[in-house]
Amino acid sequence: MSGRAGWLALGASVAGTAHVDYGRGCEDRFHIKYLQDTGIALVVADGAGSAVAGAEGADAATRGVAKYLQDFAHVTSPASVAQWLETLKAIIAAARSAVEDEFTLTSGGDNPEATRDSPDNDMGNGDAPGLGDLATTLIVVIARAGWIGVSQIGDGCVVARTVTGEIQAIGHPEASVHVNETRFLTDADYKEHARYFVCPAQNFNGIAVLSDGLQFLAYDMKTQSPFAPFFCPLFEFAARLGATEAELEAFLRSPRVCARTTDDKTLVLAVRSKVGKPK
Amino acid sequence: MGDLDIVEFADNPDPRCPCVLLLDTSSSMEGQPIGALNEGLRVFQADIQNDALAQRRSEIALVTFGNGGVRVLDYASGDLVPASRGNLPTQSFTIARDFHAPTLTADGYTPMGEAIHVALDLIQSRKTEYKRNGVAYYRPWVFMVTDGLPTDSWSGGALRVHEEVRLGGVVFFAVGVPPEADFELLAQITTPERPPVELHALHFSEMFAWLSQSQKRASAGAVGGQVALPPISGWGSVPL
Repeated sequence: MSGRAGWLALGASVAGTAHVDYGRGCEDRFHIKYLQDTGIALVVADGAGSAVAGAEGADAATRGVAKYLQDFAHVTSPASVAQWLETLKAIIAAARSAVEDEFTLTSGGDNPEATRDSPDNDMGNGDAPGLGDLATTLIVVIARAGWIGVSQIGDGCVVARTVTGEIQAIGHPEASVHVNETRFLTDADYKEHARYFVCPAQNFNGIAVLSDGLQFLAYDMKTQSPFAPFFCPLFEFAARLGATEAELEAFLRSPRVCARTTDDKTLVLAVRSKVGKPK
Repeated sequence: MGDLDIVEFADNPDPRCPCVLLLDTSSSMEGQPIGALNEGLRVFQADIQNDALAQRRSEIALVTFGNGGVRVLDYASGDLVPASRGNLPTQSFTIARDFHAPTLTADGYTPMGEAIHVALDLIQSRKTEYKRNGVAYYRPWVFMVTDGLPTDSWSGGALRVHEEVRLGGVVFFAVGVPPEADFELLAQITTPERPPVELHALHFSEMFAWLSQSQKRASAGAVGGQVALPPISGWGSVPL
């Protein structure tokens, strides 16, 4: 095990069959950023299907984080839990700010995109047009300089593989009463529901980030724990020389996955690698 | 993709979407209205059963208020049985796949207040079952259809609906059938963001097709938070 091993990551996002049926494309977004000093950042945003512009919200949030990470890559890595928490909060703030900017840019009295259905057409979803039109969840995982930091708002999950091959959840899973109801970056009280997690990275050689479309396949819902036979082969796959995102995408599109979920599905896998960042 | 073929999936019970049909079978529904309602129930059954996920995930309970007071469809016997708070059949929900539309008859008064309580009690007890068995669930629905004024005290029921909605515990829809339905009264039972809907010309079949479509969306997990529902313009409109 090389002390200077970097990370290698693969990701794929596929529109859920229900989303396609309702004429919507994939509203999940993901982003992978390789940092200097062999660090890596993984971002997954799940745009709300019930929001008129959930995909745009997920786009904006991801862009906001990507922009933050560009600057982050050039500054010294946080070196304590307290410094990490500051960074993780700043990431949420940057994402929120990007979504707010997007809303300001695209909304406006004469912008039809911002108009909500009248009550005659839609049996009372009732919210005033607003930032909620761009509702999205967000997960950001950064592995850098011996630490792992996680910022989350909403559902989806982060799972890691230890150096001894065990699978464990990292981050704080959302506790929601109803399936498929979650918090969004666009909620007024988003700050209260953002969750942060910091731990040493040395025990881990694999990180997976999933949007909630895969939750019922990847988690034992009764015990609320990640299902190892789902994750182990996926980490093995990611570590295999020549593994491609096309293969991962084909997996997410496969009939046996689609038989179990009609939601958008995003999966980002990162494994420690001597090979390092792809060219 | 050989190595991804060995990825295994967790074996979780299907998440459930409980839906209570709360239907007025009082004497004013006699004749054409109850006939159209019954046809609508058959449309609902056929439509929801042609969706692979919804037929496993939606769970249907049926409560009537009218002849025989408040009655609940007991799936153990297949009959409507009298019910009240504290007296509910044990098998009052079935997954949509196993739902057989009953043929309802119309007669009697309109104990809407009591029926609302029974519907909310059914949901309460179903949630307890889910939690006991580690089954995930979507926010439950109550779908009330009425063509007249309640003949019992309904303010307690209305308060309870408001409280449940405020807590995020239920989605409550009301549909009023003209000419006797009182939309101002119904608006006191429903909540402002989901006002009562006026049914156009006994379009029960279209209404039930809409309900089935909505259940499919809710139980598909394809939409988060507030479900994005199809437009109602095919069968109803909001009069207030």
